Amino acid sequence: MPVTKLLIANRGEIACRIMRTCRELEIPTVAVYSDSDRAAMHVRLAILSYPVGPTPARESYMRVDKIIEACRKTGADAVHPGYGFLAEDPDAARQIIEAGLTWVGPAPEVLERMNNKITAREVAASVGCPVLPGIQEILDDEALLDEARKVGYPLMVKPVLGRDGKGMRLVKTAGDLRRALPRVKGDAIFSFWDERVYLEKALIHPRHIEVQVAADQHGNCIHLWEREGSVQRRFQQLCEEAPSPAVSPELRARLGDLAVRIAKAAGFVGVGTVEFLLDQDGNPWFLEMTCRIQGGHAVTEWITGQDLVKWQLDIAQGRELPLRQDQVPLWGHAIQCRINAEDPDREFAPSSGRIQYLRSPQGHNLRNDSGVYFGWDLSPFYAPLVAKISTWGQTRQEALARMHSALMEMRLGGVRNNIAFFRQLLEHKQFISGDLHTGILDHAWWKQKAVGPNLKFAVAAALFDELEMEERRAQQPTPRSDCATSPAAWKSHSKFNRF
Amino acid sequence: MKRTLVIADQTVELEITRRRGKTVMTWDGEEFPLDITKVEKSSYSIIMDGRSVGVNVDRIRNADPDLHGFRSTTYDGAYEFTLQDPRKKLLAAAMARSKRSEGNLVRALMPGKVLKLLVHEGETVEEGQALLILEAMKMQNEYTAPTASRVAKVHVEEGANLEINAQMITLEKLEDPA
Repeated sequence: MPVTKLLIANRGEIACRIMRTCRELEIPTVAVYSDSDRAAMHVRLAILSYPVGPTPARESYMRVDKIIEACRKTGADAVHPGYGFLAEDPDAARQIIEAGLTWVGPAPEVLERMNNKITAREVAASVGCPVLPGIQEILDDEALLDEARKVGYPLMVKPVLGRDGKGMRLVKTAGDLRRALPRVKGDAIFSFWDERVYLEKALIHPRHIEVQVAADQHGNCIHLWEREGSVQRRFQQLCEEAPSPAVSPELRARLGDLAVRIAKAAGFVGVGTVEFLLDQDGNPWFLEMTCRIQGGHAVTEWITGQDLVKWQLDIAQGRELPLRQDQVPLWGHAIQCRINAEDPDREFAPSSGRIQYLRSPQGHNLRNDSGVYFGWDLSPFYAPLVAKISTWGQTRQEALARMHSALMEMRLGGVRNNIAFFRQLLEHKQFISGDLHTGILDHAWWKQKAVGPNLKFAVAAALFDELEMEERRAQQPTPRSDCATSPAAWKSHSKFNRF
Repeated sequence: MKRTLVIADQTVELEITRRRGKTVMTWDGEEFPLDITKVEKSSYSIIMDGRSVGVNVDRIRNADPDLHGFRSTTYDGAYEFTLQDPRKKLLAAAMARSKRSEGNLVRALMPGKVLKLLVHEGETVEEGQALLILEAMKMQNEYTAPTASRVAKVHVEEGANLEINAQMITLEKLEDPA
């Protein structure tokens, strides 16, 4: 079914990203927005906009009935869920398809199969992909502790219906596990309405490698190489690159082959990612499959020259994949940093507030995917993502140097952010050498807020700002004449000191 | 204009002056000529000693209104610090001293002019009641009774210019009626 008008059931940079491709393809776009997003960038970029409810995402962006109503009112005939929100929700997909709309994503049955981490592991195992030892049976806590002893610590405790790293916990002892179980279950119920958890053997210092796959409705399924997303905090990627410095051509072929077999076995159609952990000997283990566009897709687009959102729309409209496997290029190297309003010195706690200043980096082979603008209020209700900056180079070294330069240029005022942290990451020996693992941010090796070489400049600007403010204040007429006659008048005056 | 900088555990006395278009920052006694220009809202371009650095200045709220909080961002990261008017710091210290001393003699904490005398000799005043207004450093400072008292002696008159520590009013503490 052709897509003549596309509704994007999302916000922020990914909604803007999808709209850019739609403009190229001359497909009109519909933005939906919550109460606090009336003036958001995605609303400003869309052709049509429709309100879907209050600020909390569950009462607006995640309300399938509102999304369908928005389609009816605006004449949209397809829904792109972006990532997060409804992207991997089989019920949402089902309702949208039943409403006669095109769902830009895999079928609800596929989402159900791969969302459930236990059935996903079974799919992976069925095509011969190594799966980490784990405990998949639903047991009571005591039985689980018994079984855990047999598998051996450390273990990962994960919600069965989990995604995006939510609820996951690493446990090193039985005591850890006992304490973690109720909390993981609580998080799982809160985020996924399901309290089932499972255990999986945890690797020591693994690397996170994910393979981009694409499959059309005609049975074609290919991969577009891997991305490495080992730089994580709270099991969420901050920085990704492609190709991975840890993957040899042989391993690349093997990972690609495994990913395509898993996607096929899952019945997957669309654009998605098969994720693996690489142990310290370089052996891949199946982690999970994400059945949606990912935040890191730009680096794959850099090295292959493709537009993955266009691929999604082509696939949803029943077209064949534009490339065969042997036609997929691999050019150079790309890296992406997610600029978040968060404080790396306070365990990456999110920061919200108004963007008082924004200077985006510019230059050759640099890409900026952003969904904000100067003056925009970052709401604590949504992810604190400000921009995704990616750079491309002929070599990894060149891509990294370009990113480092971009971060020096980028400035963000009004909110705490991780720009300086990324700059230090790119200067970090371990990172430069490509020796990554998912625990690289467990200990804060980066410089905390301190006195740096530009202190005098930093202070001079503030001092000058104070001077200008004082001069402005001095120019304002002082209410002195009133003071002498009426004490009450200057009692309310702001320059009043009480002893 | 003078300011006291506090960053981490470091304190620096600063002064900035602007004369005939020249801006000079004094950093613990050492002078640094600044070529500084505001380029965008809250953003400055500075050339100091030939080096050009762009600084973005965010004011951040501080619980103490006399401590002006800043987050300044340069290409190498964010610096968080406070600037304080040293006169206000002196005032705060003096205020603390006067509260501690519990003395009956109210003295001028700064040189200034008596703008308004609000009590006369023999009058009884309640705790916190205003006694006089001293204008000092372009600020009107209200002096209040530390406890319920009787005004024993007024040493000044309206319009008088006072030195620091000048005697202004002598109070007699009233006994509790109990």
